[in-house]
Amino acid sequence: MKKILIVEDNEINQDVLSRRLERKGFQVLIASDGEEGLECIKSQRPDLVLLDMSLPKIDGWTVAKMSKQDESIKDIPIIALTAHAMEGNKEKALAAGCDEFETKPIQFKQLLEKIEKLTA
Amino acid sequence: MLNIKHLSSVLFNPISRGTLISKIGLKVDWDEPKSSEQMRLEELTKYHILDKNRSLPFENLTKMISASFNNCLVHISFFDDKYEWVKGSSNKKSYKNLRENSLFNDSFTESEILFERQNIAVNELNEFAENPVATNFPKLHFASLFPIATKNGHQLGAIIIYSESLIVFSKRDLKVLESFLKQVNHLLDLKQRLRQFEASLFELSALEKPLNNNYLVAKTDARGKITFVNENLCRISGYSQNELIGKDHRIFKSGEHESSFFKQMWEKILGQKSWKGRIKNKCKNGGNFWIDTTISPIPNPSGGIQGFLAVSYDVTLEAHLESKTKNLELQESINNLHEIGYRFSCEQQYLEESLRVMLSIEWISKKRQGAIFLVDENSSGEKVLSMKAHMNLSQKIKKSCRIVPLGYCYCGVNAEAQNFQYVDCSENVQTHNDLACQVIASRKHYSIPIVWKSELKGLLVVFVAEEHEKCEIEKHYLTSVANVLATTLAHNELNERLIKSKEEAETANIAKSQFLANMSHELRTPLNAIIGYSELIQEDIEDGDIQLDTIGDDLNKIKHAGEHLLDLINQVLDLSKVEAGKMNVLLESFSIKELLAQIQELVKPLMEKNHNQFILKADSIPEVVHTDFVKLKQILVNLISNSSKFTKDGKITLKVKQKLISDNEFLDISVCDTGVGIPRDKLKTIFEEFNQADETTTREFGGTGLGLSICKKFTSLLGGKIRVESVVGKGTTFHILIPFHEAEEQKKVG
Repeated sequence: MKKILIVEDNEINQDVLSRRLERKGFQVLIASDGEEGLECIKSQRPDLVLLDMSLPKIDGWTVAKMSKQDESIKDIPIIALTAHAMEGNKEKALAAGCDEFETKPIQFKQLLEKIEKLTA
Repeated sequence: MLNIKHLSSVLFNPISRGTLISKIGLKVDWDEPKSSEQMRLEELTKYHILDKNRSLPFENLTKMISASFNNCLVHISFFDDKYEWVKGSSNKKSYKNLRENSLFNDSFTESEILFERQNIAVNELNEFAENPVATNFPKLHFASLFPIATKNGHQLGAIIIYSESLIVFSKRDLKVLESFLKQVNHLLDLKQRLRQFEASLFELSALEKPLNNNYLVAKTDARGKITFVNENLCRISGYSQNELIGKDHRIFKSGEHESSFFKQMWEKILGQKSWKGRIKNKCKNGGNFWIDTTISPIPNPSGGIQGFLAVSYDVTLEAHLESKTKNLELQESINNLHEIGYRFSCEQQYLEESLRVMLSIEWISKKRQGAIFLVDENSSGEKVLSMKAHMNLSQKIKKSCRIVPLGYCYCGVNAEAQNFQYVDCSENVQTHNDLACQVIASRKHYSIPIVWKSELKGLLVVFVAEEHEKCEIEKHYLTSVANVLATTLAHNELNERLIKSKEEAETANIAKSQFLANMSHELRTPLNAIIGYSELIQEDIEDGDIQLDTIGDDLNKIKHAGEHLLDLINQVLDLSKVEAGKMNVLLESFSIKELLAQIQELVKPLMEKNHNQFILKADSIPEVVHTDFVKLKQILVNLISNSSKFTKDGKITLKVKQKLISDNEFLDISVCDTGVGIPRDKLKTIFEEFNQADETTTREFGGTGLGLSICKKFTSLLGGKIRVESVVGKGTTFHILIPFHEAEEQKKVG
């Protein structure tokens, strides 16, 4: 069973996303801020991280950068999730080290395809 | 002149051509010894009497002598080396006679002779066959000769009296003759003076032509009425003599010169002195000519002035050349001034440089003194002229004319009236500073208003030398300078405004983009929930896994997200309405207590959420206020809900007081919390849209980020003010002042 870490501070988003992923057969871990998220990546070594960008304590971009710099976890794929849909945000996320980018509201089918591809 | 000492009767020997019977002659005492024949002839020539023309005065004289001596024949003859010139004959016109035929060929020089000749005309030798006297008057037997001699002793000729018989001259006769001789001499003298006069006249006439070609001559009477003009003046002015004679001299007035110019001219010539100067005159056809002229008074015998003589030289060409050169210089200067406008971005530098360039025209401003004033406002809001640039001014002027109120002093008066003025300064003007005005007034200067589209921008002041003669081209030039200054100043002002509004537009644009980005973010967050839960429920249905409480919960979350979205949209609409000026204020009288009660009710759930305590302090408040109920309520709810978001397990206090500020009544409201507080650097932007102190605070505390922005806008709509103070970790207090008008009935009760 593939392990997916959701780093997201919004409880509603946590709830919707985790329930839908579990239903598709993923094991879901949740972290509510950047610091917790980074620790979780290291300790739990998930198969994939869904990373919100606007996070308390450490923001998403910093989390992505730090995990890609860490040899032990740099291969874990990260999909950036953000409600910032304006131009430039995708580039900013990819430049920070994220492997993929999805805007909120999430198109779940499309997200699933990206998860499948990155964890294949 | 002949000098007759005494007369005596002398007998002496006959000379060659007759028998001398007596010599009574006139004993003459010569001033100088007799001179040679050559000298005599030279002397004779000087009198210019030997010509063919008859001489009426001599002829008349002979007739008079003849009448005095029994109508005998009388001649007045002059002898040169060849002829006896009979210039006067009592019975005949003048004629000449070869000297060899003369009866007195040799003897006329023998003064004082009187002789008788037997048969004058006929002698053995037939000597006088050619002499008309001898041939025409054969009976003449007697001739007496009275010599005509000059003062120098040269004997030029004689009065000759012929008679048929001997005349014995009495003393009285000799006296008469003496007086006739005097008259001859007088005539000779006159003749000589006439000659000299004619000669000088000739010289004068020789001068006339060059004079006429080069000079313009005019004479006027004492009142300036033209009495004479020469041809040249007519030629140049285009008038005929008839058109000018009798006219006032001002017929030539061109309008170029100030009245003061003519004033000083009149002062001088009326003071019996000559005046010299350059004048621009008007031609008949409206054109102009320039003259360098000397005007002199013509005195009359009683010591007064009978008229004026103006001798002038046409300098039109020179003046044209000069003005052409000046024009070129001025044009260059104007170009230069235009360029300076592009070169300097600093106003101060621009004005100083412009002044420097302008004052470098030496013939306008010899001392290079001047200043540029710009219109400014003083502390009491009155318009004043403020000296922005100056050159070579004294400390006194610099200090006292730094600020000149409009309407005071020459500068202020001219500027206000937008008058171009050349100040000779004798007028009385109300001054802002007597001392300064005295200093300036004593100096000739131009003051030229700087005007852009009939709006006064400033004033240009240029000092000129005391002897300076103002002219049209410099007036034109200075006006152009003022125009260039006005244009450039207006242009710079416009430019500044454009840059500012561009910057403002850019800032607004950035703010708008930021607003849109934030909006997008804010809308997506609740939509994420709505779509997410909707899809979850759909999946539940598809899977046939329907658990009613789960679905109920999820639907509730969808509903909340939807409500949040609605709030957001409403707030955005409110904001845009305020920005578009379409938010109406509805003023009504209502009970403030009722409003506070409603608020207390509304904020209850907010307080419960973060376990906060709500405290209301409203002691000295009016019963009824008159303002917009809905907006005031929204302001207060927004502030309280804002505080409750950033405060946990704390207190939120709403204080309402009545406050009187300069006779106006205000509601003094504060919302105070014990929450996280706002960092100092964020306080400034706290009222801007989507500008929560920290992006992460949105995550932590929620909210649309529009609440405070709406509070500020609504407060100002109600004529009030809002401010915030905060200490990080201690809490935040918002203060609002909103004016209200206490209702009438309440006042009565009070």
